[in-house]
Amino acid sequence: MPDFTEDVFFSGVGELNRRILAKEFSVEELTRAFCDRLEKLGPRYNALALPLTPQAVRRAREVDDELKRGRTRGPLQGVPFGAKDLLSLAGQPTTWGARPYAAQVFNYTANVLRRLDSRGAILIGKLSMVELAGGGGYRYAAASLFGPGLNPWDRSCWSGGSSSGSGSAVAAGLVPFALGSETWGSILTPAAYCGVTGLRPTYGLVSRHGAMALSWTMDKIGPMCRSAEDCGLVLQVIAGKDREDPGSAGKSFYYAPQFVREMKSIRVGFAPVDFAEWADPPARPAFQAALEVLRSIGMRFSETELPDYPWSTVAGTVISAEGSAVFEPLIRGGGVEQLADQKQIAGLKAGLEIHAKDYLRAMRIRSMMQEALRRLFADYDVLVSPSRFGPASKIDQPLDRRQPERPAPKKRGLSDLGAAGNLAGYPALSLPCGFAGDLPVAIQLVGRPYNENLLIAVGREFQNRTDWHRRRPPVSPG
Amino acid sequence: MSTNLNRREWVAAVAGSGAAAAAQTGAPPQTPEQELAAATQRQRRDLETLEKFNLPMAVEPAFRFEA
Repeated sequence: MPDFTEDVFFSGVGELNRRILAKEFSVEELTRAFCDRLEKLGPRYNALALPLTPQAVRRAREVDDELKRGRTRGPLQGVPFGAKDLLSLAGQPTTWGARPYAAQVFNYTANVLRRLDSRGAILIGKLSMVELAGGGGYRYAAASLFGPGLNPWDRSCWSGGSSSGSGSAVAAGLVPFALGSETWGSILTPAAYCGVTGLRPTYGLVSRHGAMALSWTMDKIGPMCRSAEDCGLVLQVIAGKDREDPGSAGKSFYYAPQFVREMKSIRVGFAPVDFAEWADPPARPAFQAALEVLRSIGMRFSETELPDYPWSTVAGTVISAEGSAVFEPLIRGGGVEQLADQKQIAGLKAGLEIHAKDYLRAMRIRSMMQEALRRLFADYDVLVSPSRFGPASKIDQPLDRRQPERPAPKKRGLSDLGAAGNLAGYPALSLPCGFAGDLPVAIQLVGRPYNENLLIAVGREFQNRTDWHRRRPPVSPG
Repeated sequence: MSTNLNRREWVAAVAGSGAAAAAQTGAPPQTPEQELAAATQRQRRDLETLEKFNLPMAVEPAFRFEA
């Protein structure tokens, strides 16, 4: 068994695949090494929901046999990965991060996991998450069957959620990439807080079959990786038409960086107020520096802001109504009382009282919002904003705590871009861009539907000019 | 779904229909009943916000049924 150095554990997808093909190590050897690391260090961050070592090693041997026969399947072949525990794996527990579902087992495997398996990627573990993806709202980071997600950069801080384990596992080099999901912030938040690159795809591009539903009209599955390039490689595999997902857009994604437009033709919208006033003061230098790096790429920048709509209110109403409808049996049957977070319990109960007319009103306003965003994107190819306005909070702090005293900015800028992008189903890429103290911060790029190649291309340019995505948290192997 | 309030949301919440004194002091609700009351109140405020939105009659919901 080769002596794997830390460099291997923090390598990207392409690098690992290249070394496998060069026979520096076998898929089985690499898989065993990552499995050992995930089992040993995953609990340190409350990142591991379910180790899958025996199955992973069996699969790795099959992939090694394929490679011996000369059968190659692309850049993910032989690369281990983790999956948020809202994705079903036949015959194994899928807990949704929630005590009422701790023993839940499905007899089918989520479409995205089947796609990755078909390309020879090796699933080595299910990763922890906020219970029910935080659908009812939650107050504390401990809103999970697995305890609070701990940040590899500072374990007294939160890893972010709801894809908590996915964020921390990639950041700590426990998996080369992971799958997360986002309804409103659940890929971008842990990606930002943990200093990894996260991609929220266009709604409908990636099948939701086999994924826990929180909001039928807002759930997206996406990759969390060490780089924008890796996000492109993973998305190419997991995206595509799926008849078993009623929301499937019926489109594929081909990672094609060579066909992206010249950077100087790309129009970028941003709001200075986001970086100078909405952002937490300790994070502002990193955000300003990131803006300068983006400008240095040669794209055309101009100032903009979101149109004045109740973005967050509509997003919250839609998620609350749909989420509570999804979990109505849990709520009416009393199982909801087993959840860890009291605010989540209350939110799910309250959501059942939303009348149809109110949900429909929210969905009608949503139509107007979609049109407004389409008009905004007539003038821009990308909008850029901080992914989160500050770094991760301490794990014992209420997440809905009153923010530090500071005058609220007079301008809204793009401060509701998270709500807007998720309501409209637009893709977003979160890129680590520096630190506030010892904790990572990130910027997000939001694009038009099905323009993931453009976002990834800009992300690659940014990551060619910076090394934030290569930074490693202090993970001691012992 | 993340629940960090931005400052705009916080201002709206505190200035709204008498969010509990607990909200103004920053202390979370203490009992499940208080928690449910707070959630219901938040939801009512949100729905009131949506009620005030000028919604033309012709606008249809953001989903489409197909036969």
